[in-house]
Amino acid sequence: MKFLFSKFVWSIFIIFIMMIFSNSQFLTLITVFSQGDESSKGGGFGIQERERARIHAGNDSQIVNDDRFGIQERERARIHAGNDSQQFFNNDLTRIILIVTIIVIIGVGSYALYKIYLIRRKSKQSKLKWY
Amino acid sequence: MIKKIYFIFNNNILQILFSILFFLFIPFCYADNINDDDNNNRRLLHNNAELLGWISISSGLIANVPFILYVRVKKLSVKRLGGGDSLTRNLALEHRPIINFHTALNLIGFFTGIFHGILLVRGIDFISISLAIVITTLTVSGILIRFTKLRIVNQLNRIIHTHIILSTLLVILVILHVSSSY
Repeated sequence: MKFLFSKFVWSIFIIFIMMIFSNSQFLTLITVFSQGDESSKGGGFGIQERERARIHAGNDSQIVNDDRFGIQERERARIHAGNDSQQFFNNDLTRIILIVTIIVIIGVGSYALYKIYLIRRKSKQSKLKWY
Repeated sequence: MIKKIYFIFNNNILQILFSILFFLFIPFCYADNINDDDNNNRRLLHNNAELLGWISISSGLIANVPFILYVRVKKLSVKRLGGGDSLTRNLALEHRPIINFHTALNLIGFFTGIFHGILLVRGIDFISISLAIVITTLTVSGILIRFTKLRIVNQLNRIIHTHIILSTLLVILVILHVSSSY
């Protein structure tokens, strides 16, 4: 079981590391969206909304007709910020959901490895009985 | 007609899979035109990405619900009627095409889910990440059951793939993901 378990753990670890280092955008997104979205004093913009507004502003500056498109995007960001503050699923709850998911998957994997170990042990014992 | 469908699913599963994925790509081809208005492009892409999510859920439901019912009925028939009964034997004969159908539709659902996630990656949250992890685990374990010859790997993945907790978690996460998106 030790042999199987270490292979299982190592393969999961290596795949995870490859995923993280091969995709820097994924890392940036995780960094941005893992932070709390508490709104600052006197405004409805949390950190996620500020990041979104920054991205939209970057897009706005590349549009020829700034008056029409830029103002619309800023207005949309303001409305999203208002909606964000009313969201049912805040970041703490969803963080717990992610942790529970990972624990469940590791638990099921460990249970499966344990069952395989029991099956192998039984088959070895039955072989010894025959001889 | 039913025999023809069984024949198709026994032999051409990959062709069906790739052809359906090809048809799913068509709505996205015209969204790459850089001369179009950016705002319309974004809205179109967003609507199509949302549609992909619904396609993924629908294909998952169609792939899994009948399959689960079939497995239950087969087990019940073996238990009540015995292995020699004609009904049990007929159900056993239908195992291969039903497994192919289950595999094909689940793979379609998986890939459409991936594209849905890639297109809407800016709106990623922890529920989406959890859902992606669970779906990937189930799909990879299913693929390994189907294509691996090592008995021990097969048994391990069978336990993981058929575990009730993972399936329940998947359903809960899909419901949470849909409700948090609206």
